[in-house]
Amino acid sequence: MKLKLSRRAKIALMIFVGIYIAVGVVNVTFLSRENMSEAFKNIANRWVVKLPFGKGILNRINPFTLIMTWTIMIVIIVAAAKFRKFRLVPDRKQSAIESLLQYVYEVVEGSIPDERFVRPTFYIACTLFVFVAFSNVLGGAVPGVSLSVNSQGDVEKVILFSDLWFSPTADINTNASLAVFVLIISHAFAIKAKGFKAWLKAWFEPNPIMFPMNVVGELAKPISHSLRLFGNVAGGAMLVYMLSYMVKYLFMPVVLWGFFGLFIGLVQALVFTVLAVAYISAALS
Amino acid sequence: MPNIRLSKYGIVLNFGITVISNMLVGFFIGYYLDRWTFNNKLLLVIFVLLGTASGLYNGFKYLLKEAEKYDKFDKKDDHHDRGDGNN
Repeated sequence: MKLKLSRRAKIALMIFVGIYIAVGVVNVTFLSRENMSEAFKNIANRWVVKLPFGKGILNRINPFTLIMTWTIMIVIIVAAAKFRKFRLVPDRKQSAIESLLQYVYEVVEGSIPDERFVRPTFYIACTLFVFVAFSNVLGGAVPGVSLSVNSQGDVEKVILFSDLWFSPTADINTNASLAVFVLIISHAFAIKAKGFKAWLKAWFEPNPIMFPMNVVGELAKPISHSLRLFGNVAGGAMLVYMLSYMVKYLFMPVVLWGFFGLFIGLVQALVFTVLAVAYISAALS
Repeated sequence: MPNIRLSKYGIVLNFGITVISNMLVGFFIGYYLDRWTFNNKLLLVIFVLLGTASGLYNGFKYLLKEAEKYDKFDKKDDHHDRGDGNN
């Protein structure tokens, strides 16, 4: 690919690079240098609030996950309401959305054997893909508000625009609830498609001895499904933070943001969606 | 299938994740059943072994399914692109 820039764009780019280097030089000379152990002290801690009911691991929540989840949901709903009226001759944004949805539809259509369940599975897959992709990119590539939390789970300070947003998919609870939802829906579809008796019989195939293994294998699906996304997003956010600290005056962080945020985030969102479709189709066939 | 080329490199990873998650589920079921019933670690051992067996079973099932998909894909590929059948 050969880039062709206009004269104006070249000048703007040169000015941007100059400002970037100047800010870097100023940072190196004047900024107070935080110690490495000081900077990474609170990197993996989460805000924890104890609920008045429940016990064990069930009585604590991370309110920041809830806030971010609701914010992302509201943003997606507002954007969807804005694109509600589809025109016959699409403009740029509409054709981007159409090609994205068509790609997901092709994936769904290629792997769901029963024609009645193509549409519902498509809705589920699209919802999952849009939500997970949006929150992955937000948590991997966009600087924003995040929290510095000590090891007891109390908020020490709010970090504004020097770290990434806290992604809801970097919390295992969001991923686990999505994965359990996919598991329940796949079995509900299976019961609806094959009837209760045939569904019950599928647990004892190919041999009644295999029943415990089928149960364990079925329960392992949401765990592997959720842990994969959680590991990639949470680890990606931490890696971006640490590596950006180590090379903070150079161009490197931009590349890292692009790689861990956009590339890994979008690939993991796609993998999550494809796996959800694969689980539903495996339950249906 | 449009995603078949993309998932080429994830097969090994998926196999490993399947085995490990099955073992984990077996471990946790065994641990809690054991704590709930006899508390002598016998059920834990049984369920870890069961989880391992289930992991290998499901992992190989997944691998066989992928291999089948690839066979189909390769045949179609040979037919359309090369047409010589590289046996």
